[in-house]
Amino acid sequence: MFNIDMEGIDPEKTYDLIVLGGGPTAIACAIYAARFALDVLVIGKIFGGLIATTHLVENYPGITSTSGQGLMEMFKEHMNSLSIPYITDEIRSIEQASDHFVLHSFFQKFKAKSVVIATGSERKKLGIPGEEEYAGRGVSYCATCDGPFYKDKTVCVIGGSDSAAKEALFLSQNVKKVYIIYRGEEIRAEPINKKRVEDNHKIEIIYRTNIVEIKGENTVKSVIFDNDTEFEVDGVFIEVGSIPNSDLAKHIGIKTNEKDEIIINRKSETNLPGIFAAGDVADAPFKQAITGVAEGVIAAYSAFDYIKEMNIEY
Amino acid sequence: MEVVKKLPISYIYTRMIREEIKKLTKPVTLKIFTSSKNPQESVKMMKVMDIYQEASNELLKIEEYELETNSDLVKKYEIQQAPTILMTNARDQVIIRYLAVPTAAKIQPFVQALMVLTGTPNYYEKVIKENLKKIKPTVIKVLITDYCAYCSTVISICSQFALASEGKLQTSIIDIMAYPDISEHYNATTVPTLIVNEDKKLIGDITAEELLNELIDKTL
Repeated sequence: MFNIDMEGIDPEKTYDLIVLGGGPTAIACAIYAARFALDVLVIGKIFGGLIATTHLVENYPGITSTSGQGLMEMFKEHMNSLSIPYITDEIRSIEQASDHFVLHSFFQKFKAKSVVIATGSERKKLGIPGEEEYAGRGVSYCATCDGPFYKDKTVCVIGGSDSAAKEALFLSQNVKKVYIIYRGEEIRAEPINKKRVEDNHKIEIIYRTNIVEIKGENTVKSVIFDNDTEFEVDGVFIEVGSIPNSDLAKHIGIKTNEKDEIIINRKSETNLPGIFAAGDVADAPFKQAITGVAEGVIAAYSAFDYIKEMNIEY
Repeated sequence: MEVVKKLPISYIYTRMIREEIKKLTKPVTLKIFTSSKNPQESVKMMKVMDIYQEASNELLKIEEYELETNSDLVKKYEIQQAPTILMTNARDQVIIRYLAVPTAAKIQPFVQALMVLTGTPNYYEKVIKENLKKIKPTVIKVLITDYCAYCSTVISICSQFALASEGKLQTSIIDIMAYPDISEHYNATTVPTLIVNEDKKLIGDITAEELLNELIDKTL
């Protein structure tokens, strides 16, 4: 049951597995864990994860086309069918007891024999003047959330990734004009989305350009380019990549790489026995919902194996 | 084999409503104010609420009042716009208002609030009660849309806080696509946006801990 009430949740018991995260990786992991008859609990900050902000998912086998939110509704339904408890909370620290882990949030304390960290990633910020000041007043990190506010207006998308291209395509449905502002020579979108962008008369790409400031009066009015040009826009959608949510992992001594991603092996194991990681927070070079799902499933199997091998009663 | 293409949203949401509301185990009554001046939204509201009611095993009771002909109740419950759903506590205090038809991202937090209202334990209750003396009486307005990925979680948190607060907190869920004047009033260009006591604006995927910090009077 997807809820933050206490049904199905018992802070006194020791779960076989607690999965941290609310995206496809965490839910896939929990689904497999439940099918392995593990007593599993999912604790997520936001249900859906980053993919829920995507307007178009066309590369998940078996589903020709849906939105990120639509995909996660299906995941939720699958999770509910197995009566997997889910709560909205954020684990701040994990300590190791003799044969289990104790997970602390501000609201509650939980115990688990094994833990899967699937806390995903969050949108990277540009870190330029005006970005924080105009957040929610013209600066956005989610086109599907905030796109409808910009009907018939002019907006820009900062970034050259596939996600940036998809944000621009979504925004073009409502706005007057979308400018993609990208520092590189050519956007890095999947060829199918690149062609869609090129064919869309409402989208124009400005290459070899960075923005150095966002200006406004109450709401965003313009951006300043690195060639000192002031460019008028009503909204700025920032899509310059993401950073892994690995602070908790680092805090408890889990090894990360230079990008702060958790280092895992083919079994989704971290350097700490009993703690596994999967999805965007881990160090795979190609991050997609489906690759996260696969890692999450492997993590569930490895947790199952770990409990069995350790002869921990379950 | 049939390929799953884009599923009709209304079908998905009808199914979700039926799945969720059947979890209700105790009777609960909602007051709904509709308005002849906003017929489209009022009719939509009652159609959706019919789905909830029909699937609730007769546990969900709805009292419908027309805004224009129930001035005493309108005044008592401080109804300013309709359609509005009210969830009230045993003392008839308004705990949660929905200026929003409970579809899409609102379905689960809506049913969850009904369940907690009828006695299901609330995850945040212990901490809210521990801090009740420090919490200022507050109205939290949650501006949302159907297409917002973070709204469901934020609605849940705000609703559960209100339900645990013994009347100190009141949460209003406002669909700004249905009420664009409210969106303009608060100059909202992102969802979710939280308006705390008409004073402070919080945006994005705010966590329960962050919200609690905003509600606590640090001088107490």
